[in-house]
Amino acid sequence: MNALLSFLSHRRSLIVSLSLLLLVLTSIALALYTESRHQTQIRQAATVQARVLADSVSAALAFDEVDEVGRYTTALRANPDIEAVAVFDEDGRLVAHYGGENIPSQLAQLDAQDMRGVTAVRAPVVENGVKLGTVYFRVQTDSLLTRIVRYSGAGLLVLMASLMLAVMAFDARALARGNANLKAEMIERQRAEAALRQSQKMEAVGRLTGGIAHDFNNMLAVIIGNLDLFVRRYPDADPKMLRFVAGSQDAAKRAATLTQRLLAFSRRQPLDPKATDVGRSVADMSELLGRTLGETISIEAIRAVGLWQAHVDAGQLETALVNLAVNARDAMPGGGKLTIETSNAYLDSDYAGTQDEVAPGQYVLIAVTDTGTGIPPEMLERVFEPFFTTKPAGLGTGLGLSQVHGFVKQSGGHISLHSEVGVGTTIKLYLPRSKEVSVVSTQSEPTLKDPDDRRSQTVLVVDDEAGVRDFAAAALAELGYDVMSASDADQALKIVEDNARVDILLTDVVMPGRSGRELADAVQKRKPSVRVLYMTGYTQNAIVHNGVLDAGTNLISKPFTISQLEQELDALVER
Amino acid sequence: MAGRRILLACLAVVVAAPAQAQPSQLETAVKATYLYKLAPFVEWPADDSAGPFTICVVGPDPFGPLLDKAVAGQAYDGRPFAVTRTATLTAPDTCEIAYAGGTAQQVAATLRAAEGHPVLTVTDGSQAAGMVNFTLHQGKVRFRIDQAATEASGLTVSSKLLSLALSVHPAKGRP
Repeated sequence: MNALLSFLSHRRSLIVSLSLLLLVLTSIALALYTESRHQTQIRQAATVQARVLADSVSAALAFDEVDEVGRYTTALRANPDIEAVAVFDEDGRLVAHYGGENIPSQLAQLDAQDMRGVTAVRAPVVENGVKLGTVYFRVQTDSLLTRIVRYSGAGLLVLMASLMLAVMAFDARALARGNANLKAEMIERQRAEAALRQSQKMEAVGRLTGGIAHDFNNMLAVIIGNLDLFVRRYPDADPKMLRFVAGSQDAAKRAATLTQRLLAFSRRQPLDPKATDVGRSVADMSELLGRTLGETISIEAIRAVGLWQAHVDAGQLETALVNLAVNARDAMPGGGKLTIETSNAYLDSDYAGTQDEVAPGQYVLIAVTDTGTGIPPEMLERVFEPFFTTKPAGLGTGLGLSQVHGFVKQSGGHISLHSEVGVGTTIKLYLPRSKEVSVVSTQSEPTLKDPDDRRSQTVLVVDDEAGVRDFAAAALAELGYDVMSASDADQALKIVEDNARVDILLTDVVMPGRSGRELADAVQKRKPSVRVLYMTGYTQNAIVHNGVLDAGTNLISKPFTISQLEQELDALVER
Repeated sequence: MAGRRILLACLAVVVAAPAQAQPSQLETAVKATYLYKLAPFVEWPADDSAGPFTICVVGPDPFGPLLDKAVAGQAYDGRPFAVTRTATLTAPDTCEIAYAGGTAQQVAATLRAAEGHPVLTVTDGSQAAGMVNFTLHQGKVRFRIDQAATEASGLTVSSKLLSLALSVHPAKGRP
């Protein structure tokens, strides 16, 4: 029964066509049958009338009572269907007739005169076997028009029925199609809603993490800076004391790395995307990854021919690859194989529509596949959350995949995860294709500047955080610069207006009141020669749009060491 | 037939004036035809002998080959017509139709001979009339019928024929 129903629903158009055909054929057959029956009836009726006439006129015909014969034939005028009546004698000569202008005088000539549209019958005039003559009857059959009119009613009905059947069938088809569309849309919507919820959750967690990391960065900047200053100022201090300081410095730097990861996840790390040969990056890292993975895991890099360049930050890409490798290693405690494939990919609008925040277009795909334990379905959604980890306490930070996720999203890419418990996991990174021509990065040698040169330079430090401001001022003084400091933009502008000797502006980006960028613009308006270096804990602010540095903007990420500051300032002067 | 009608019309003109004149050949031909055409409108009592349907011409024969030509190819209920010519009616049972010709005495003798036998007697304008007696009426050959005589001989005349007769001598007991 179900099979029949499904057959019916799948072959609906065929069934409708067959039904229509059947209907039309039946109608035609019925019409033909009726028509032929009608013809037969007309002929039978004519034959009967002819026989009656033949019987009536026999005596009159036999004894030449022409008038009598004529009376009989004339009596038939009452029947309007009769077109012609003729009576012939036993020798085939015409005795009497009415109607039919062209009745021949000889019966023998009548054969050729049968016409269309009329039914002609003959009846012999016989009495007791003696043949006395022939009666000829011609009855009008309906004209073609009459017949068409007769069947037009039925034809119209058939036509209407066919139309109704067709309309109903197509209605049903449209309904089924609409239903299917609706179902598909519902599923689509559910998927989109789930994706949106997930992305909102990640966004919220990211905001929180980013905020905390930013504050942490400021504090770490002060800690690291002050420890740096201590070591520089008192190189001859008690070695034990220096060891304590070194330990503090190490811990502070590790903490700084951690906050960098948090910022990466929250997409607030500054990115410097360039056209990057992803295949080469993977190849270059194979050795490093091999060391990370250990001897029990083999690594295979497969690079597609004609690979496009991706528009990503090469440094962050390397970090992401290391994180993925570490993640894969932890999933394969008994050893296994890690495959890194690079290829070109095109995400069409159909696929992009089902995912959150994905633009259709060309991407460079990095697929990292392990043969590990896999991720249970219920955990798939959570693996990118920061601090989510399945590893025992102390073994993982829970930030590895978060960094990967943040990096890919911030780069305008897409990430997807396929995993089967006991078989392995594939993480696919879709990185946007670069529109630039490849640029071979040339690492400029850091040029050491003579501290004496700096004496002539004055740096204005602006930061609302006193700790950062003081550290920066102390560090700049240590490096040989003349230093002035301000706690906000207004104060800084006043200093610039009062004092002509400001060569470099080192300013925080996010401050109460005017932002660092507004300050820089105001200062450069008055003194175009002033160079600007921004410091920032995170980069979601006026000078950075969507995590990408504006062209010609110099930036140093907090926390920074004295030597990092020194390099940046030297580079600034060089430019 | 049209031709015959024209001839009959001429005949009417020709015959009407000299009464009792010798009948023309055309008139004779018409009578010869009518003679056998009477047969289909008459029923004879059932006859075991399924031989030919015999028309006997008794006495002088006015028809000659005209009668033979008229009956050629015709049959009564499957029995082909045959014509026999005799001077007197000696074997009335062999005849279905007997044409009594000749003088009044001859005719009367023939009629007498046929009496009591199932023989349709036909005469031509004679005083002693047979069952069917030809006569000229308005220039056309018509006939009178003696129904009493036919019934007496066991013959049944069709009402179709009766309706064409100039006059009918009704059977006994009928109006």
